[in-house]
Amino acid sequence: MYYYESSRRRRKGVYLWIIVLVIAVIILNAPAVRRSKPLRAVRIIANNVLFPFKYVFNAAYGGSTSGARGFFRLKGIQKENEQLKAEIKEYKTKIVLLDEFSRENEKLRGALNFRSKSMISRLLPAEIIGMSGSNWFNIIEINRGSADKVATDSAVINSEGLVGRVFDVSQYSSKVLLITDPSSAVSVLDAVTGDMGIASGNSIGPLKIRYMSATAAVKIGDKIITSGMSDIFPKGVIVGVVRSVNKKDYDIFQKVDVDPAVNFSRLDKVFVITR
Amino acid sequence: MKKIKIVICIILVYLLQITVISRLSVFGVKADLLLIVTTLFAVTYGAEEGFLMGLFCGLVQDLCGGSFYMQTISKAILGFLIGTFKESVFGTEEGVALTAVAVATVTNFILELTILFFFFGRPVASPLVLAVTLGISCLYNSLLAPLFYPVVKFGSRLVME
Repeated sequence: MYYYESSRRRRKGVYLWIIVLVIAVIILNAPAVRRSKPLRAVRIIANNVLFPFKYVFNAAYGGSTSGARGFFRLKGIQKENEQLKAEIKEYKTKIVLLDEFSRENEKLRGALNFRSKSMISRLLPAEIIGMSGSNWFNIIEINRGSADKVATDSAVINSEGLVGRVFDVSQYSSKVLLITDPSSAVSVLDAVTGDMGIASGNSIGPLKIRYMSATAAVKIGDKIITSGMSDIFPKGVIVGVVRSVNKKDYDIFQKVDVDPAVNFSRLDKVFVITR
Repeated sequence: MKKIKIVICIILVYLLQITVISRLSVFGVKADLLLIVTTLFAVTYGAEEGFLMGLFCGLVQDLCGGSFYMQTISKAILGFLIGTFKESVFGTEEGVALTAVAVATVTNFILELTILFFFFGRPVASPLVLAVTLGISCLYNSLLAPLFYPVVKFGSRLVME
């Protein structure tokens, strides 16, 4: 009898705690409180304290997987080596050409009085030290922060294309919202036709392009690139390739699905475009 | 001392989640180790302890991930619910713990969807993607649960005694 009463009393306590929690979360998510300095400071401290541990865990995991992968790939390593050497030669030639184009471009921009800073000089290499544990958020954490001059809304790319944008900066690490996140929105255009739209994520699977005019002549296989209409993403970074186009006679917009250029399941190194 | 040990264990599980488990996704869907730990802890120790474990797990995730503090609420409620119904519905055996994790995954999904979409109006994936995510994560978490059950049992015995 006594046990049941004490158990009931303790459960009542938990119900009370749940109500307090709900109220606390509502208050904590109010825009003014969410952006307040003390709350941000708590999050930055938590991230800074955990940063070395994340680094160690990540290095241990990276080391073990690359070791295992290397062991199984030893067989084809010589062939791969020759292939890579050939690719390096090809890229070196392309780099020489690109340097020439870049110099010419800078000269022309200078002649037109355009204030510019080469994008290549602003690329900051970063490693991924963590990924969001939740399926609701497509977020990665990188090992660069305000100490490396990373700022909120810096674009993040890799050799394949657009990865996302920085949305939260701590001293030594930053959080990046991937373009596959449903809350992400990128102004894009069809590289072939020049038609514009807004690409947003769908968590898993292809990106969705909204507000693409029904009269746009988008075709399957077209490359989709950033439009450069926002301050965040530079123009011309590849976002993906059109997978499907769904056009209805009575709609003013068409539905376009795009396969992201970046393989997000194998993401390990990225570049932050510093501002 | 017991509380410090619990917090250290939760932080270790969180680090394992964001560095290793999140990379081992199946069709882009990640397993939720902190959900598994909360559920198994609630199955072993009951409602109040499950509530506290869920509360701390969610708080660590939200503080370090910056995600609307929804996981603090959802995991705390989840720990409490699983602990409350453990005797009448699940029992305490390994096979039943697997069912508990499946039920916990669905409950957590509904709670988080309610908080994110209906409460804060954050955009979420399309209904088809949500259904696929729920199905895969339910299966994935349930299959991982028997592997982690002995570890959670052993760890919690060390911490709680």
